[in-house]
Amino acid sequence: MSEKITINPITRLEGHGKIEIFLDDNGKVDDAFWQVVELRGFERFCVGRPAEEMTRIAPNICGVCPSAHHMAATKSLDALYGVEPTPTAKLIRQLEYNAFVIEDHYIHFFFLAAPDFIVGPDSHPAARNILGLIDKVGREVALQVIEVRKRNREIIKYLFGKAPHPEGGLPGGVPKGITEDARKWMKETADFTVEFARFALKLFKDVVLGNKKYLEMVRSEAYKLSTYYMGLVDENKKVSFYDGKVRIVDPEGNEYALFDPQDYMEHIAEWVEPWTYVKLTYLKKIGWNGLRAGNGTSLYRVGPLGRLNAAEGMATPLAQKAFEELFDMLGGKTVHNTLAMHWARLICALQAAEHNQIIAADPYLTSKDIRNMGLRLQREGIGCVEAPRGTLFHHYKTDRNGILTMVNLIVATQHNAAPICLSIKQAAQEYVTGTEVKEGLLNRVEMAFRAYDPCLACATHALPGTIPFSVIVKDKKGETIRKVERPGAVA
Amino acid sequence: MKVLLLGMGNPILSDDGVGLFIARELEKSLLGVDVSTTAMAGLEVLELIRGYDRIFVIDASTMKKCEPGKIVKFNHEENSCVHLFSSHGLNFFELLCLGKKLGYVMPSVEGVYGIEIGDEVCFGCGLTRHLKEKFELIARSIAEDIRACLSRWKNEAEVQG
Repeated sequence: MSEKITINPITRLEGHGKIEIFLDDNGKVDDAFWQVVELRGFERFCVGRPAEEMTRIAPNICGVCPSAHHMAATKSLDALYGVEPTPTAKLIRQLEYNAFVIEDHYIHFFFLAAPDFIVGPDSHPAARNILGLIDKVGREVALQVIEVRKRNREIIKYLFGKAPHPEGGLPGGVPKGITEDARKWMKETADFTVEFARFALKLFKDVVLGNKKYLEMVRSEAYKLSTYYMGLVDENKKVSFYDGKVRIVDPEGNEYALFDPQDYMEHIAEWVEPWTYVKLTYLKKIGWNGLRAGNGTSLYRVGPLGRLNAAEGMATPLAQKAFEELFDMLGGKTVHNTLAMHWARLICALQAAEHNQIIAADPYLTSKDIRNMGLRLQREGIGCVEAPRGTLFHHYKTDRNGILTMVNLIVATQHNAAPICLSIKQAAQEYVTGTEVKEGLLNRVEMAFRAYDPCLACATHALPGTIPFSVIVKDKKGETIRKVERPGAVA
Repeated sequence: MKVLLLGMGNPILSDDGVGLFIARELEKSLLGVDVSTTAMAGLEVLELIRGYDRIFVIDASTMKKCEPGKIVKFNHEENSCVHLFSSHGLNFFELLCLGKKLGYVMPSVEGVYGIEIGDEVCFGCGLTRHLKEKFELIARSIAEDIRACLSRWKNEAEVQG
C-alpha cells in the first residue's frame, strides 16, 4: 500500500509551507514535495500605484528580507528614472546593505540553524533552539549575537529611518548623508563585527567540522545535490551583494552565463506547478526538465553556497581565506553539499563586515553629494541585489505618468524551491523508511530545507498564529492511518 | 513596579491590528502603565519588554469558537493569538525565557487578551464594522481588568508593608 507522510507546517520557516513525502509499496520514499499553500498577491496590488511607493511597500512585505526588497526597489527606480546614483550614495547604500546581510545571516545561523548542530539533530525540539544553544555554549555567545544585530541595525536606522523596515530609497541617491561623528561609530561597529565574524567561523569549525559525526553529515550523499549555481559578482567575478553581473556556473563550476541583471528574462523563466503557489524557476535556454538534479537538470541554486560556487572568490581578504578553506575541506569546486550553506553563510557575513570596514574608511563616505536629480522616466526598470537567501530581481513597468502597470518579483526562495524539493527527497530517502516517525529523522528532513533559509513571505502573506507541527501518514486513498504531533501542535 | 501594556498587530491588515488600536486607545486612561505597540514578533519585542516587572498583551485571536470581538484572557502559553508566535524565530514565551537566560529583567505575564477576529482578514488601515461596533466595549473591559489587577497589587504591597 502506498503511503504519504505530511510535515505541516514546518518549524523555523517564515510563512506557511508543508512537506509531503510519498512512500512506495515497500515503504521506501518515492517522492517528496515542498508545498507553499498560500496565495501570492504582492505583485498584483502594487499595480496602479506610483512607482516611487515601491521603496515603501516592498520593505514591508515581511520582516525577514526588508532591506533586500528596499534596495532592489531603489535600484529599480534608478533604472526606471534613468539615473545613476552618486559615488557617495552608492557607498551609503552598500554600508546599509552589508549591515543587513550581517544581521540576517547571524540570526539565521545562531537562532535557526546552529541548534541543529550544537544542541544536536536528535535532541528534543523543545531544546533544539537558541535556549538549548545557550545551555551548550553559554549566554555570552547569545549576548554577542544580539549586540552585533543591534549595532548593525543602528546603521540601517540611521541611514534609512527605521529597522527592520527601512524606507526612503530614492532614484539617484539616498535621503541622508553621513557625518564624521557617525562615521566613527559605524567604523567601530564594522570592527566589532569583523571580530565576531571570525569568532563565528571558529565556532563552526570547532563544533561542526570538528565533530566527526556532523562532518560526515555535511559530506553525506543525503545532503548533496548537483545543480547549477547563480549569484551576483563584481568586475573581478568576486562575490558581490549590492551590484554587479549575474553569473551562473554549471554543476562542474564552468561559467554558463554572465549577464547584466536587466537581461534576466533571457536566462531565467518561471514554471507553474499545480501543487504549489510558488512559481518555480529554471534556466530558460535548457528548458524545464522537471524536478531533476545532475545530468540534464535545468535547476540552479542561489544563496550563500550558490554565490560562493558562482563566484571566483570573495572580495575581501579574510573572507577569501575562509572561502579557500571551505573548498579545500569539501573537495574543491563545485561544492554541492547542501549543509555547507551554513558555512558559506558565515563567510558571506565576514565579507560584508570587512567591506563595511573599508567603506567606513572611504573619504567619499561623508561627502554631501548624495543624490543625482537628472530623472527621466524610462517606463521600465529592473533592480537586482544579492539578498541573504539569494539573487533578488524587481522588475517594474509604468505608464507615462509613472503609475505601475506591471510588477514582477523573482525572489530567492523561488530559485531554490525546486531544489528544496529534491533536497528533502534525498534526506528522506536516507532517513525515512516506512511509517515509523521519529523526531530525529524528521528533523534531518527539515534540516535539508532549513539550510536554504527559505522564506515564504515574499510569495504569500502568512498569518501564522501558531506553530503547529504534525506528521500525518496517509494511504493512497487519502485515509489517515497515523498522526503524530509535537507538543503545542494544533490539529 | 514597572508595568507595560503591549499591543501587537499588523497596521495594514485591518482587524489583525486590533491589539494596536486598543492599546493606543488605553494609552491616556491607564495611569501607572506604559503602553507600547509593535507590528513585529520574536527578537524585535525583546527590547520593548525587557526591564518591566509585569506585562499585559493585547493581540488578535483566531480561536474560531466565538464571535468577532470576544475577548479571551489567557494567563499561560496559548496557541491562539496571532502575533505571539513567529515561524522564523522565537515565540513570545521563548523570548521571555531567552531574556531571563541572558540576565535581563523580564516581566511576568499578567494576562494576554486575545480579541477574536474571525477567519477572514483583508488589507486595510482600519477595523471592520464588526470590531468598530464593539471597540469601546472591548477597550473598557480590558481597562477595567487591568485596573483591577493594579488595585490588587497595590493592596498586596500595602499588606506586605
